[in-house]
Amino acid sequence: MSMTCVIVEDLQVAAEYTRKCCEKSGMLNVLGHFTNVPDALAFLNSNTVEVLFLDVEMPGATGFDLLDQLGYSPKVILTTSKPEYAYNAFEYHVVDFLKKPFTYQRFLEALQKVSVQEQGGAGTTTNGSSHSDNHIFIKSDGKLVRLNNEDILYIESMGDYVKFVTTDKKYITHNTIKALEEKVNKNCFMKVHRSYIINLTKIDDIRENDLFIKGIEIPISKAHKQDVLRRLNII
Amino acid sequence: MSNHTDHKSFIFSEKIDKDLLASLYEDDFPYMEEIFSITLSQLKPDINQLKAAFDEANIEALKKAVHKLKPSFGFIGLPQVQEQCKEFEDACGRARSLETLAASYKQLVKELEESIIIIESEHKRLQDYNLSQL
Repeated sequence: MSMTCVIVEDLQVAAEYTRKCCEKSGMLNVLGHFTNVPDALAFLNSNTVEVLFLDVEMPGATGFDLLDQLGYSPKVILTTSKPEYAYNAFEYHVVDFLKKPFTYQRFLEALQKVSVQEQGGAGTTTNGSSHSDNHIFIKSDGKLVRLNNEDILYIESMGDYVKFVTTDKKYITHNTIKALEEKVNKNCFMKVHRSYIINLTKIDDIRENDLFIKGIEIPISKAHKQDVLRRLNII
Repeated sequence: MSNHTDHKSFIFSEKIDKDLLASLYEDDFPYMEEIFSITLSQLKPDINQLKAAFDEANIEALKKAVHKLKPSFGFIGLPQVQEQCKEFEDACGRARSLETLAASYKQLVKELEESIIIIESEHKRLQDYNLSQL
């Protein structure tokens, strides 16, 4: 898939970073970068693009002003440092909202949402269910904590509780491995033992009936071993 | 692009959030040098714009100027300065007179000017490091 895009951003470093992410993805052809709304509108109204990376606050007019005046509806990814714009983002049906500075991984997630919409997928607007594909919320210490899939290393059973081990923290919450197996994104996670669900992208190595994630040894049950091996990219 | 061993040989100033930089640029130090260079070239006029807005007692312009400055610091590993900018931006939104902003403005400008020195120093070190890898 290759899509045309334009970057509308008055902060030069942010524009350069977005351009680099576009190039790195191999999925986007950047047709231009504009630092203000009038210049962007002049281009966009004579050149149809598929994806628009759009800052909100720019000199003279906002990104939302641009959307009000644009004659068609590209897939819009807002890039801003102000989360307060999330509500407006919802009203304008933008595909995603990237808070600057965003990681390349987060950029790819936004592109994934664009792809899903391009293919006619449902529920991918800002309040859509696709958000649950890349993160989960858990109850911990009396609050709901968002855990991004990419940050979770593994989940370990502790009787009536489970421990979520992330790259920098551990969270214990009331739940079971069995219940979680149905709720986590199966593209990323896999149950490898009655007491463990692991993030497949985090496996460092596998020896006999154990796998290792950041030096932690996790058993693989006989029942799951063939499934685990099938899911790995073994050359 | 540098290899893993080289990566370990470059140590950022302790004021820079190296984990944040790694999450954005991995170990692409030539690209980091470019980002630091772009940021430096843009920050100086943007800070001048902030100072001009304060001198003109224009709170709305002050708010816009700090809003524009804010994310730059995230891109070069100074999220604490980005947060300080955000707090000042919020304070501008609440302020009814320039006097109520004076103390925090002074503190912010001091922080921004110190940050420029750090960014210049890290940019120079990145340049030297990248040259040594050629």
